[in-house]
Amino acid sequence: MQGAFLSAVSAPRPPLRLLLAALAWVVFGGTGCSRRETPVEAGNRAQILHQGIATEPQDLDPHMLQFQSHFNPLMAVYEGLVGYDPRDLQPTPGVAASWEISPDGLAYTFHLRADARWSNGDAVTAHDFVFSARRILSPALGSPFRYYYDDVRGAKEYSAAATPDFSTVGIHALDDRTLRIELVHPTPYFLFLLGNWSWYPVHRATVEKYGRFDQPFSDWSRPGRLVSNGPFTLADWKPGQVIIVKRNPRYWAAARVRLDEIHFHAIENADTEERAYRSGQLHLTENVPGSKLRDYAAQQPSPLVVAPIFATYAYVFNVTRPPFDDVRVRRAFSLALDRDRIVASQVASGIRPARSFVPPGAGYAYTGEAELRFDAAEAHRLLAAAGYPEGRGFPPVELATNTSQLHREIAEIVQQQWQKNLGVQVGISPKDSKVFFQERIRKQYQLARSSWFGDYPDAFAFLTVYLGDGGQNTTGYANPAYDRLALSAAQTLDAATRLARYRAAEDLLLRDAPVVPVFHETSRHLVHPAVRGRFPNPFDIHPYQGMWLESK
Amino acid sequence: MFRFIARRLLQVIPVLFVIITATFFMVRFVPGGPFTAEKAIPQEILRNLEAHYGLDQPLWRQYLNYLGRIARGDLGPSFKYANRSVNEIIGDKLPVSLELGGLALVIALLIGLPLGVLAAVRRNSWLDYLASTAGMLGICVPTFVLGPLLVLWFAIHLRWVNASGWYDATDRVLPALTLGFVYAAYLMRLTRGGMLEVLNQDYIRTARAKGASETRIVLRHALRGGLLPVVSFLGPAIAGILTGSFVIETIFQIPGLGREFVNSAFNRDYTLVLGTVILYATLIVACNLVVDVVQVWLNPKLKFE
Repeated sequence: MQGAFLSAVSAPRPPLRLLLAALAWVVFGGTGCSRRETPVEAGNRAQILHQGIATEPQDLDPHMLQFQSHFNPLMAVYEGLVGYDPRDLQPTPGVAASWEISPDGLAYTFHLRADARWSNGDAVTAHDFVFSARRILSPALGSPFRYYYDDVRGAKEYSAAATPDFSTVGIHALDDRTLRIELVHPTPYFLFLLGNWSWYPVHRATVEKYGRFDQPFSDWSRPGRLVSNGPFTLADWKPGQVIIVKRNPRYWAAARVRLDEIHFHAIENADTEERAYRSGQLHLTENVPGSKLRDYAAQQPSPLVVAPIFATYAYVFNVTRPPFDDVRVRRAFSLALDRDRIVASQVASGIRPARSFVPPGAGYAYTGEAELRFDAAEAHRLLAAAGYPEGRGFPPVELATNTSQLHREIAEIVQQQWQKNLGVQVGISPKDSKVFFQERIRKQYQLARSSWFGDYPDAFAFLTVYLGDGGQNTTGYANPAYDRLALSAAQTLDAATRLARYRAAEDLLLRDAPVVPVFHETSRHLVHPAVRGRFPNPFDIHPYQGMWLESK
Repeated sequence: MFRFIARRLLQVIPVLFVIITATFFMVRFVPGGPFTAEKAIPQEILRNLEAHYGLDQPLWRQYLNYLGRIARGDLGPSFKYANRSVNEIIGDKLPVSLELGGLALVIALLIGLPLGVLAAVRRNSWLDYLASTAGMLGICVPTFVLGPLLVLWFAIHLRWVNASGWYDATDRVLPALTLGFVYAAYLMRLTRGGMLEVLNQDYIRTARAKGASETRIVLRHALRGGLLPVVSFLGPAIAGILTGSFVIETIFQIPGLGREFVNSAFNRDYTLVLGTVILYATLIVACNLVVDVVQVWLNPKLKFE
């Protein structure tokens, strides 16, 4: 036997032929061999949606969410007082069948539907919403999203532990099916906030069975434990792979839900996700790799869905340190940017040049004197006035970004433009995300990348950032006149006055220029043609109640 | 031999202690923490979270607490997956990495060893050239090129298997092949080199002179010595291959430990970093011990001392 083993080698021809034959079989012969039905094809038959969600949520506790993309599985398993119309995100009845708003805009009364049920059969009552509010606002839980309750009377004080008495908070159950919410000031977008995950009810008995009600990380939301009230229920969770939700037969509108299952695939790498889409594993992707945008855009029909979103990509200055403590320098940097060129370098991503900080939309668009424009001559003049003619004597400046292909590309164009139009050398320092975020929060930077995604369809979602005491204001900018204008606008019910005040506030912000808006962002997804009932919108929110799959 | 193994096992304890201590403090001195995010969280919430995890205590006390904890076999709660323990995460993900690594290792051995031996025996033949070229290619073509190429053909074009995921047996094929090929290439080259060196030794000539068959010479006399470099390579390689590959797991979306190992550092998931480092260190020490034992067995010149 051992002799045969070696003698086979000494005669080279047979194995060579065998090898070639095997190779040929793999390369040519296999094509028609066993092409399976892909998960997407099987899903189209059985109404099973396969969606990529990039990173995996830590759990399905709506009060402890981390990323916007984690909203998707939460939206499938929970329902708030109001929902969103999938086309325009107008508030639609959810657990509340109807509601009244007092004429002064301060009190909301919700009438809960009688047939709203938890997945274990319990009725969803007004008390559940009171419990949930008490939980998310409790200081011990430390929810990062309790600011969604800031407009509710007494909520800020309670969550800051100023009072231990929850009855001081304006959320009361008048009876099992009537909930009254009182606000500090009129908030025109309040119903939109109510659709957010932070307002989802959690099931008290389940939460308290697995820990204290305000315990930050208890494991009540695991599969087999989680009791929820949405159109789907959590069926399975394979860590690092997939979250599977199934249609909830106890959901009050179960008859209208057309999908049977949704599989949320946690595929972190955008290239891997794109390959999964191409091989028929996904209906929907969370991301599209920048390098593939152009190819997908050229396809007919194209699965690439690009939609403007309520977000602005910007650079921020540390206004507490020279040279950017001088408003002339900041404005010079802003004027020296040719935003049309920057946007032209990223055509396939659909981004729009920024003319203001607040993206146009939500009934408001800034127009006025301070509108962002490209004016190299004026930029020169301002820089000279600040003591740096032709950029001479300008101290070395570093632009900090977190490492990513897109951030680097944009930063390099910006760097060139500043050099060409101002004569200023700006170094780019890409950093690990955590390092970058921490340095930005601690103001250990001169110039940094900063994006903002508005939480609700109102200019205040953006203008709130640069309030003097704003928690997300990393620039050190504080202008009492701006604070007054922005706050008074947000609390004005009359639409015309409100918008006029927003304009005045933004005017001031753009003149003071603690921030250099560059472009307005888009959402980019690959969407399989079989997916129906899903509409692009500025918040990238896609309720599952009306979604279904249909292949020709 | 038992004394040798016992002594080596005792040496493991101080080694692990040094590794744990160094990792514990290094990961703490990196800027940014587990709760640093794009949107800054309010100070009082940060303080609550830090108190919940005991991060508000002095570092030396946290260190002592941690040592006490691992002495009881508890690696602590994860920061990223807040309601899961590190033990649980490793328990979930290590088997996946073991399966992938095991399959890849089998593929690597089945391809690498025979090919290496044949290439050495038939030196400068077409087979040697083919094997050496394949080996060079295997080493030069990185997994992040080979993996997507295999996906392109077998998953996207032919639709035989999924492009990613770890659900059924067919999902094992592409990742195991990708990882296996790289190690096969190394094994092939090491085996060939080791065999060539041994085949020129005097004792092989003696065996030939005594009329031993070529097959007997190769399999009985040469292979034992020729495999020495392979074995010393395999020790750390097995530890690496079994604890998962970040690249392969990312390309194929495999829920293994390799990704956790790398991501935990990016996430500043202190406990998960330490947990994976401890596991990895233990595996490396264990594999090296096995290598030493096997080498003594393979090489009569070595003794247990």
